[in-house]
Amino acid sequence: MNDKRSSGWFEVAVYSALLFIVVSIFWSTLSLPASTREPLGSASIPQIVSVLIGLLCVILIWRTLAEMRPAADPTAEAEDEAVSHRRRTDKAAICLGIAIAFAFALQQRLLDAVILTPAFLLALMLVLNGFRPRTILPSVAIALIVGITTVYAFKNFFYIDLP
Amino acid sequence: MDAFLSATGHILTPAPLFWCFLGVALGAIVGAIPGLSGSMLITMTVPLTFFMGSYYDALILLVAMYVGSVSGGLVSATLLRMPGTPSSIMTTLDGYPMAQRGQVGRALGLGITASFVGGLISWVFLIGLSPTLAVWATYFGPWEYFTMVLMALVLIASLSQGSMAKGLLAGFLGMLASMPGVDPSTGMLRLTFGFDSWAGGFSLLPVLLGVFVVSQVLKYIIDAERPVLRIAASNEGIFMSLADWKRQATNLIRSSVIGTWIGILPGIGASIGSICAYTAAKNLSKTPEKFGTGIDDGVVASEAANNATIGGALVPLVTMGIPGSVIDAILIGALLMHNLQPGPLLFVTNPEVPYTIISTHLIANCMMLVVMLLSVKWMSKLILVPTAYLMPIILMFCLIGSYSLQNRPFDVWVTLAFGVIGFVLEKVKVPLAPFVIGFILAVLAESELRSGLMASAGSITPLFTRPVAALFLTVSIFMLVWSFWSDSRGARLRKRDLVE
Repeated sequence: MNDKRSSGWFEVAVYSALLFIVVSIFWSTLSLPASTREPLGSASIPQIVSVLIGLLCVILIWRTLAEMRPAADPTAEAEDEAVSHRRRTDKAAICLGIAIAFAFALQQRLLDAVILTPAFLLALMLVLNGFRPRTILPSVAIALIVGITTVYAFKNFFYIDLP
Repeated sequence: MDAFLSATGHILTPAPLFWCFLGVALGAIVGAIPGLSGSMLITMTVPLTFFMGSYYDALILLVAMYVGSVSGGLVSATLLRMPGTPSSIMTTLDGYPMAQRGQVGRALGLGITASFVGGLISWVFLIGLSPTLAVWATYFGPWEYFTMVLMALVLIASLSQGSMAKGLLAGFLGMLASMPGVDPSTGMLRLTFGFDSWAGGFSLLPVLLGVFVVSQVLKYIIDAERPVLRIAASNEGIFMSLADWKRQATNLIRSSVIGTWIGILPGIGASIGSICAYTAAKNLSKTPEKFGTGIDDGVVASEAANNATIGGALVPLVTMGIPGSVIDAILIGALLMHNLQPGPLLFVTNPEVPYTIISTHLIANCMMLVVMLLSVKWMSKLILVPTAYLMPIILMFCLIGSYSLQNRPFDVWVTLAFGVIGFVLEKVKVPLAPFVIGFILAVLAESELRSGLMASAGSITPLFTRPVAALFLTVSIFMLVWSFWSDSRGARLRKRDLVE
C-alpha cells in the first residue's frame, strides 16, 4: 500500500509541475502583441492548449488523490505489475549523469571526441557491468573500437564538426 | 501505374535491394530484442539517411526496417514470453505455451507466415485505396485538414493505453512542445523565455530521439536485472502444411482485414490491431477456452493483424500526410527532413515517393518471410545480447546523432531533456505515442486553422457547414464523449462490484 501511495504522490507531483509549467506558458503569452493581419494571433493557440492541459492536470490530480484514499479499490494494488527483480534506478540516474557530463563536454569542447566518446562508453559500461574484473577488458575493447570508429565515421564520412 | 512500375523497378536494382535487405534484417533483429523497438531503430537511423545517396534509398531502408521490426517481435514473444515490440503482446499468450510444449518451430512458423499474409493483404488495400484517397484528399481545404488532425489526436488518445485524460494530456503536451520559436504565420517569437537557442524551436529528430530512445534506455537499465527464461529455437515444423493453410484461411483473412482497417485509423498502431483481431478470433472460435493455452489461431490472429496494420497505417501517411502509427509519425518526420511535404500532392508532384513506399512495403514483406524463415534459429541467439554493452552504444548514437543534425550541442540537450520527460510521462502511465503525434501534427493543425479563419474572415461556421469537416468533427466529439463515458462507467462498475 505504501508503494501505491508513494507512486500516487509522485503522480500528483508530476501533474502539479505540469500545471506550474502551463501557467508560466500562459503568463508568457499574455505579453505577445495581438496580430492585425489575421484573427488568431501568435498567442491564442498556446493559450488554448495551455488551458486544456491545465484542466486535464486538475482532473488527473483529483483522480489520483481519490484513488489514494484508504477506502479506494483494494484490488487495484493487485493489478499493479508484480516486480520480481531489483529495479536499478540508481544505475539509470548515474547513466543519465554521465550522459549530461558528455553533453557538457561536447558543448564546451573540453576533450577531443576521439577520447571523449570511448570514455563515455567505457564509463557507462562499467556502471552497468558493476566493475567486475571479468567484464573490464571486454568493456575497454568495445568502448575503444566502437567509440573511435564512430567518431572517425562521423568526422570523415559525414563531415560532422565534432570536437 | 507507370510510377509504381518505375519505383518497383528501382527497388529491384542491387543497391536499393541491399538497403531493403539491410532494413528488414536490422528491423527483425531489433524487433526481436526485448526493450528495443522499431521506433528506436528508425529514429536512430533517420540522421544517417541524410548521408545516403538519394532519399528514395533512405525511404526504402526506413520502410523495410518498419516491416522487419514489427515481424521480429514474435521471436522473443514466443521464446521469452516478452514481446520484442509492443505489437507482439498477444503473441505471447499462445506462442510461449506452444514453445513450452516443444512446438517452437511451429509457433514461429505460424507467426512468420501469418505476418507475411497480413502484410500482403494490407498491401492490396494500400495500393488499391491510396491513389483514390489521394485524389479525394486534394479537395480538402484547411477546415477538413484541421478537423482531421483533431480526429487523429482524439482517436489516438482514446485508444492508446491508459485513460482518455492521460492520452489527451500527452497529445496536448506534444502540441505545446512544438510551439516555442518563430510563429510561422506572424514571424513573431513566442514561448522562448528569453533563450536565444529556443528561437528555432525544438527540432523533430532530437525530440524523437529523446522520447523514444533515451527514455526507453533509462527504462531498460532500471529493469535490466529482470530474470528471463529462454526456450531454445528450432526449425522443426516451421513451414505451414496445406492442412494448416486450409484451417487458418478464414482467420488469416479476417485478422488481416481487421489489422488493416485499424491501421488506417490515424494514430492507432499495431498493438490495438493485434488485440482486436485476437479478440475477434477468440469470440468467433468454437473453442474459445483454448485461447491463451497455446493455440495456433491465437498466434495467427495476432501476427497477421499486427503486420497488416503497417499497410493500413501507410494509407493515411501517403495520401494525407497523417501518421497512421508512431512509426509513421517518424517517417513523416524523415520525409520533412528530406524536404518532401507528405500529403495528397505528393502523388502529383513526386509520385515516385509514395510508390517507393508502397513497393518497398511489398518487397520488404516478401524479404521478411525468407529472412525470418531461414534465420530465426540464429536470430534467437541474439535476443539475449548483454544490455550492458548495447545500451551505452545506443545512447552514444542518440547523442552524436542529434548533434550531427545541425552541429549544435543544443540538440543534444533537447534529446536528454525529452528523454527525461518521456521517462517521467511513462512512469505516470501517460502514453508517449499521442505526445509525438501531437508534436508532429500541431504545426499542421495550427496553420490550417489559421488559414481557414483568414479565409472565412474569422468565422468558424465552415466547421459545421462543410460536410467532410463536420463529419470529422462529429467523429472526434463522439469518440471523446464515448471514451470519457466508458472511463467513468468502468469506474462506476468497479465501485458497484466492491459494494456488492
